[in-house]
Amino acid sequence: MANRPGSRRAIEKTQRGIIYAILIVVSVIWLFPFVYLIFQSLFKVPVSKNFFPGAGNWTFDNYINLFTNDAYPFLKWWLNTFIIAVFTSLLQTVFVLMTAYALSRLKFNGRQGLMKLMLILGMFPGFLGMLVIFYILELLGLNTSIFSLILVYVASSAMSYYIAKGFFDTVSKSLDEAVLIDGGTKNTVFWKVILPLSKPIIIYTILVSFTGPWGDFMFGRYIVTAGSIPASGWTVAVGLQLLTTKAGNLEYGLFCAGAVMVSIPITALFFWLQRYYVEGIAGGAVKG
Amino acid sequence: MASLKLEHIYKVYPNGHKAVSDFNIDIKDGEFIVFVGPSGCGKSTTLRMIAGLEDISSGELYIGDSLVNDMPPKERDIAMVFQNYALYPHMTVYENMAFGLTLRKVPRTEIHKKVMWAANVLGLTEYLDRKPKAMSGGQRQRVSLGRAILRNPKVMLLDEPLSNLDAKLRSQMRSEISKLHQQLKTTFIYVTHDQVEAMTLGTRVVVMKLGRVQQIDSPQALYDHPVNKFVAGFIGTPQMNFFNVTLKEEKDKVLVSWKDCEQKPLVLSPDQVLKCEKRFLKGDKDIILGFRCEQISAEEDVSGDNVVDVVISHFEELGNETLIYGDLKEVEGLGNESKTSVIIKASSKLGHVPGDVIKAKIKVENIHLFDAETEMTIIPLVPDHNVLSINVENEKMDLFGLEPKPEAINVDYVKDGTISIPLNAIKVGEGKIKVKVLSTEVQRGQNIALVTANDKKMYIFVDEQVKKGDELNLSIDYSQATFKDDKENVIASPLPFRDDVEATFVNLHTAYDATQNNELMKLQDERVAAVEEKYKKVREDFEKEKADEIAKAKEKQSGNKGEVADLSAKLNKENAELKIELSKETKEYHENKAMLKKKHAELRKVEIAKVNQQYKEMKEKEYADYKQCMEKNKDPESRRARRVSFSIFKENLPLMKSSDMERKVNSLEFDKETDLNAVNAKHSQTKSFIKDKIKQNNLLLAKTANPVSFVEKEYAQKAKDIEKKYNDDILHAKLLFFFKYNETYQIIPDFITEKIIQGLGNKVFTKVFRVAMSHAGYVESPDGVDFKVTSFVNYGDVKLYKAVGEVFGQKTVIYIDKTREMKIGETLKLKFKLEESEIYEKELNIRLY
Repeated sequence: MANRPGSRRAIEKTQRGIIYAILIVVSVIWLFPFVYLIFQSLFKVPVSKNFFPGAGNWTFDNYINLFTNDAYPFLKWWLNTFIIAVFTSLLQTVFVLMTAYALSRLKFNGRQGLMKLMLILGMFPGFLGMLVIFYILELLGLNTSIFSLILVYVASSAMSYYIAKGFFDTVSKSLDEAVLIDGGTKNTVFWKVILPLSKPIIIYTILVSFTGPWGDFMFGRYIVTAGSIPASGWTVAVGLQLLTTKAGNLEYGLFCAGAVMVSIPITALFFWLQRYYVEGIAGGAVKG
Repeated sequence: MASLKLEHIYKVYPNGHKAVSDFNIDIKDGEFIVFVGPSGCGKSTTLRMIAGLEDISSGELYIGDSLVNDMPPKERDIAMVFQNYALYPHMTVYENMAFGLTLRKVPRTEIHKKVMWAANVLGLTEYLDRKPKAMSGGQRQRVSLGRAILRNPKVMLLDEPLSNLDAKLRSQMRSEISKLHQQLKTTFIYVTHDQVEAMTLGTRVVVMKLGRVQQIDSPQALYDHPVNKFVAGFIGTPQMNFFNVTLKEEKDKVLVSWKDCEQKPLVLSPDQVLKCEKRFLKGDKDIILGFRCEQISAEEDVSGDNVVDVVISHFEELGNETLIYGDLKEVEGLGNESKTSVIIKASSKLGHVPGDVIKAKIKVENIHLFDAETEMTIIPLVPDHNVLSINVENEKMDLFGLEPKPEAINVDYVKDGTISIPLNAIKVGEGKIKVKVLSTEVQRGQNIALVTANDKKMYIFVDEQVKKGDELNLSIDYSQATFKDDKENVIASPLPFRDDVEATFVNLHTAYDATQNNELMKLQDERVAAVEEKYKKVREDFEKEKADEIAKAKEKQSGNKGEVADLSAKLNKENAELKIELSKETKEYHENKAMLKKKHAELRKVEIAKVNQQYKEMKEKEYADYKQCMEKNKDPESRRARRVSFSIFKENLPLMKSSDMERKVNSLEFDKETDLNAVNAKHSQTKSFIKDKIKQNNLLLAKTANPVSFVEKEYAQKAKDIEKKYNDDILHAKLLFFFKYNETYQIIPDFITEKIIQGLGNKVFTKVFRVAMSHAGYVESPDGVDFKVTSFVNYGDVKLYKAVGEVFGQKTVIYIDKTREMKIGETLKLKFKLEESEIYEKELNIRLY
């Protein structure tokens, strides 16, 4: 009697139960380090194997230390990184969207070849050219400032055109033509029609290009070392790495608190932007 | 509003595919032109070329009097309606319509007026604050129409605007578009694949197939006089009936014999086939007979000639009429492709059933006949040839009476042969042939007359004064005639109307390097000098005018101090008031918005509570019901049924609730958005009005306070324009291009150069050209191309010399009008009157001039 409604429902219930069980296990595994980290940052006695601080053993000292300790200017690091990430994400978003628009809409010789080349180049890890990039920065006289990272990150931004291009490709070309006939130019098409329709992809690009520089360690570390930049000019990733190598009790607590502080802007950014992250904006443009 | 002209328009893709070939049409101001054809026929491409969305490969496009080939769409002053509407989804209807005018910097008040007018015309006033996604297909297309009409464009282009609508809306919109055209009196160009739209809307219809124009005519003329089988089959529903037949002329009638069935031949009167070439009437040529379903009747008198037996296969009842589907012979099996199937229009089934054999009479006055080989009609409205019988013997030919045979006709003896004379080769009023006019008619804007002489009848072009019974003198250019013997073999072909000479395209420096001819450089200098001369005068005039205007402005400026103070006080006061108004309005706007948000939040709360309550009640009722039933009912079967229905209810309730909730919330969201749009739109309009006004005031003030600087600015711009034009003209004067034939270089007139470059762009230098010269287009010149005279060609009224030369290794034969006595064997040095030539790109055979 496998097709009795009762037994079918029972099977469905079991299936759902299994799925939820798997999801819960996965999310616990995934969330555990974060939660553990947060609790660690609240421990009075650091490097405890305990998960939860327990009554009387928890404190905000690590956070207070983090912002008051002169040896490790965390606030400075945080601000440096924030400035770099904000400028990079703004410039990068503009470049990515413009490149994507050009590759989606303008027909020119070598377009296909260029797209493939950029795709392949983008597959190589960026730090392959680290040495060369540093020499270039040196030639330009920019090797002594951490803010030259903005230039480094933004320079390669057009490589990640393809997701935005894929989105622009779905916007009907007759909209472009309507603008041209209405008296606009390709510029008008981009700024007045394509961009307002592309909120989700703009948000996506901003998020991606913010998180990249925010967490990047490789370039930061290299420029700091090679350019002998003093501690006040570091990024958070470089600074936190220093804390882990010192391995003292103080440093461990600071590291945990610093790691929690680092995650705040990204979380905030995501919560702020996610309400624009809705689909269906293009509905009704053209007959679908 | 404007006329439109397309001349030899081609669209050739890089892979060599010709999407549109040699498109020519002259569209008058206010016409409604429809391009119709099956998909892939190039109709949309043509429209997009007119819009400027697609490059024109070659040819010229004029809107009004200006050549617009290289103009971007926005400067062509056209508007377009797209098949998929192409509305801007993030803008409201109002913004969508206003967008074009905003881009053109039209003042706000003007835009508002125009949007309201267009919305009124199209019944959109209620929807102005909606976004496209909240509208139906018909409404969206109306917005798209509104966006197009409010700019009052010179030409309206519509690209299958109704294809995405359902049948009912489509016919409604069709009549709206028709009304709109009558109201606006603008030139409309409309593309469709639906022949019903074409027939009902167009003042003229262009039927296209595979990139070529098949016929351009009024809908009625297309229906009544299709030029080929394609047009006949494409226009009209149901499709025209086609049959394979042969024609045979007998003494006083023409018999149409069926090839694929055993039916009695149809009988035509000889007058009906007067324009038909005799070779089709001998009974051995395959002909396609066509007639429409209303030209065959099973209801009227079905006796006498032209009656056929039809086996009925099925009916289509359309309410007011019935289509009888049948066949002229017994066909086995349903759905078999038959060459003899026929559709008859009748008022009803006439009491028949499928399988019955009925008699039907064909109205032969309206039939169409097409050549099976070329599919062109064999009874054209305006024939292009007359085919007459001829005998030639002893240097005499018997055509319009016995006359001496022109020397150049290479025919010694023909009995019962034919001569085919193009109507263009017959001139009225000059020659010795006397003819009498039998009848005259006007077809496709041309006056033609049927004339007779020596028992032969032929058509000629005449002017409108010629009447029936007139006697005329004709001369015939036999160089254009084709002679055939009694077995239809061609024994003398016409001379080519034009001679082809090959050429390549070079610039001045190439020509100079090759010839070292200083004259060429001098020519360039002269052209530049002429431009310099012209601009010297222009600049002098300009400076004088500028000085005058500035003097006037200075005078005004010194005399109006008091006026400025007054005005400044007044305008400053006005601006201050406007600013207060603006801040008041902004405050109001924010309040309104907050209020609206609050109102909608409350509404939402109420609605959600309502749904919750409703489902709660439903749930309670069902639970109580179930409990009661279980307590009272003891029948196991019905208890089980109740249990199942209860568990289904339990399972579905949350789904029903959430979908219900979603629907309610969505519709509320939607109302909210519309309300907010309205508030936003009103605010942004008022804001812009006020800001514009302030800006205008400031401008006015500045202008009154300091008119001199304004005049100076204005004239600085004018000076810039003049210099720009001067530079252009100098550049133009320096550009000289030549056709190269062997080692001969001939300068190409500017207007021809422009057309060639227009067509080919920078590819001109790598292409080979075919210059097709008329016989009168040769000039002797010491540095010309060598041609050797080989013979004298005498066609009576037309006398030519044949000459042979070699151009780029190709033997080139030309015929030159006799302007002087020439010796056989004499070498001529020739150049060409390019103005009188036609110029083609050789590889793709594209006509450039």
